[in-house]
Amino acid sequence: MTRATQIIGVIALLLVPVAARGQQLPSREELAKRGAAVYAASCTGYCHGADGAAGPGAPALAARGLAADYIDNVVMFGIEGTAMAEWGQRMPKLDSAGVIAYVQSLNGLIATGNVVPLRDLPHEAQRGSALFYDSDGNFTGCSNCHEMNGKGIPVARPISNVPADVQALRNLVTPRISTATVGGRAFPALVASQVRGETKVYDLSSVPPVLLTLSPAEVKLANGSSWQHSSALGAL
Amino acid sequence: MGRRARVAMLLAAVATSWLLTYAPQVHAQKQGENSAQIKAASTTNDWPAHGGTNLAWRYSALDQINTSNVKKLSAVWSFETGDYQNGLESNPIVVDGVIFISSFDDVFALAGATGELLWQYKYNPLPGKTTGRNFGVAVGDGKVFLGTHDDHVVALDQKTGKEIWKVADADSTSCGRCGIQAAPLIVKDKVIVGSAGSSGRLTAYDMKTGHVAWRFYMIPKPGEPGHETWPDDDTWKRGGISIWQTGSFDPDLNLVYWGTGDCCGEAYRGDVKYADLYEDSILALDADTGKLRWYYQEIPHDTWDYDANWELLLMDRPVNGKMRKLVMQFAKAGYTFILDRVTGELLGVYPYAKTNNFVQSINQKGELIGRNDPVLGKTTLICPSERGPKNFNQVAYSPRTQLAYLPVVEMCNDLTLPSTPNQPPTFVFKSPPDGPAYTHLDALDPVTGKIAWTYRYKFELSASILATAGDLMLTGDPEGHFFALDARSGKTLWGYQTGSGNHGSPVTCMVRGRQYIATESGEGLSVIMYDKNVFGPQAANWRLGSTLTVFALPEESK
Repeated sequence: MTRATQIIGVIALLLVPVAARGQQLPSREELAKRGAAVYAASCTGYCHGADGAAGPGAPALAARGLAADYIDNVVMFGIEGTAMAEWGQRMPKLDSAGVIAYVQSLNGLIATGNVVPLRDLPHEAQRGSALFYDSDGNFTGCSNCHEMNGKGIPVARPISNVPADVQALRNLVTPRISTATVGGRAFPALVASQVRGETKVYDLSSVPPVLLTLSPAEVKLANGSSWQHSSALGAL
Repeated sequence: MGRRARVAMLLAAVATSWLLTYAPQVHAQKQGENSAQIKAASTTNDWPAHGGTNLAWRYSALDQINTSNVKKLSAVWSFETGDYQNGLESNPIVVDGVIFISSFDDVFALAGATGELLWQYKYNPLPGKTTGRNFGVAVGDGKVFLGTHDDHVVALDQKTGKEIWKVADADSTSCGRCGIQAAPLIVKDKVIVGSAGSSGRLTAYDMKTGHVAWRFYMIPKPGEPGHETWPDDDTWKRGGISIWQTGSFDPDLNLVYWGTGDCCGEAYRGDVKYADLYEDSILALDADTGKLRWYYQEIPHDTWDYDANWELLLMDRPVNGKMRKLVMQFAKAGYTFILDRVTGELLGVYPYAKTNNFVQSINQKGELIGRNDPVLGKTTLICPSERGPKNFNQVAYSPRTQLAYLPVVEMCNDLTLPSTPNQPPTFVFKSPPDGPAYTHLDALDPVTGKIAWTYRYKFELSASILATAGDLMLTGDPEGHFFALDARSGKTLWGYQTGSGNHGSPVTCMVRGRQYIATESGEGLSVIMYDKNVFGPQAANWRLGSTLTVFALPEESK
């Protein structure tokens, strides 16, 4: 199979309309739904934007690859020195749990997508699914870093937008990759969180990526990196 | 006391100590293991690895607590994990006087001398995933390594418990019944982790960076040697040969040894035609590359759920008059397999369980003679049961007595296959046909199987064994008794009621000149439920718990 047909397979998988409900914890879904309403009423306007987009006073929250415990921490305890106060503690428990669940869902940590049983997929999409989900276990599939329809390792952005064609998939930019230097070693890094004396970065120099927890003094971060999707994904 | 008497006593003490310490080693040297190997296989102040050391003898050279003073052994502290549902069966690790235990994917660091909780790490699984039973951590490079139920490997700072690195060993949202329960193994600069589930595998991580160094899948892919042992369909993809236990390592040969599970959820897979590699096998892998050096398959096409995951003891002993480097396993099928660990050649096999009908025999070539395979749509009484005469609990071997200490549960099960193929069987535990189920704890020559003495017990013994240079053999029972036997005679010397069933692994260590023995109690709900089938209403009275109890001699009688 050529690279082009492999890529078409992945795109075919992405384009398949969703049909069946996936396995999920209904209570968390309900919480996320409640949280969406609380978020829209309390967090947008002056600070964050609608649907987790960036707003006039605060950064975007959707598809940031934020870790579950990081979201929990920031909602409940805020970020020192910023306008992000301990808002979670100032609202009813169910509301704060809802906001946490909602922001988690924006980062692919709660399976709110719909899953198509593999047997119902057309052949090309089945092949795409095998490539996406790394069914050969060769550390080359997208699911080593991305989640789609509630499956995959949520390191980076969940896949929610479909590339229009093969060229668009090839041209996928690699956003927000930094160069981290730790103990004299420089490597491409995805910053997961920087809060209260703790910096979490994914080391992208090997697959699967390794989440490092560091003190700010241990790590030097610089914007930009030569890391490319193509270098990580041999199969594509 | 006069000076002369004191001198005489001192001389006597020195002589006794020489006899106790060196005489058996001289003897052992003639028989087999040399003193360098005994040293490498014995723990001293710490209990650094799952099997004590990477040679898996579960033997400590400490002898402060011994046959003459064990009567005075007293509990000095205890610790509750709070996980009563699963009980406590993680193998404690002791490094620099700190005891590390895991429970429910949580890790606790406890001061060995006082039980003070130094730190606790609470693992947060992925949304929708749960935590569960964990068989222990590994410690190396200043880090504590944990494998989790949602298939992650975590490295914690040994001093603080803070996370240093974390990596997804596999995508647990996509695979089936998968996750990590087995304790990792430290080999040189790597930590090796075995995973269970639809793509059972061993992965070696660089301890410093968390980068994958090598990975070995239990089922060869198309094009790889061994793939031809699978049916010509996609069974291999779903095979799921799991890793449930921890391997061993020989630094001289640079080989890692690991036992593998059965495949396909024990489902009936048609006629016995395929070997389904590497089901129920012992693997020898190059420690640096993960390349397979040799394999030995104990049970091809396992329809009885026996697995071959169990601990692998590495020792040098004469076999038929010739000195051999051995790897041996007391397998769940009730047979002991003894292999040359250089080549994988089978050197001996003998049954250690009395009740055995899944085959008529296994011959000295390792062939299963007269298989008693279950039949579709029928119920067959199979012995031993799928829990095995011995399961996750590990044996001990003492170079002083040259005996292995092996608990053997005589138990069977009714194995019922559904009427259609590829469906999992059901197991109902039963007493053997010739009498009630029971346990005999045998002290035996591991190579010949010759029994020196036996300790008989009316229920199931399923805790690991600890052997020490104090000539003690320690283990516990489901009624809560933790007890010490004379390693030479099997005589009961001491006992303590821990409060709930013993299903974990006792260890020993020395902190600031005082020897401690630590044991776990708490069987977990599932074990008690199983036991009720065979041992009846008495088992319903067994309690849940999750306690680490630590013993020492009173300060004045050390």
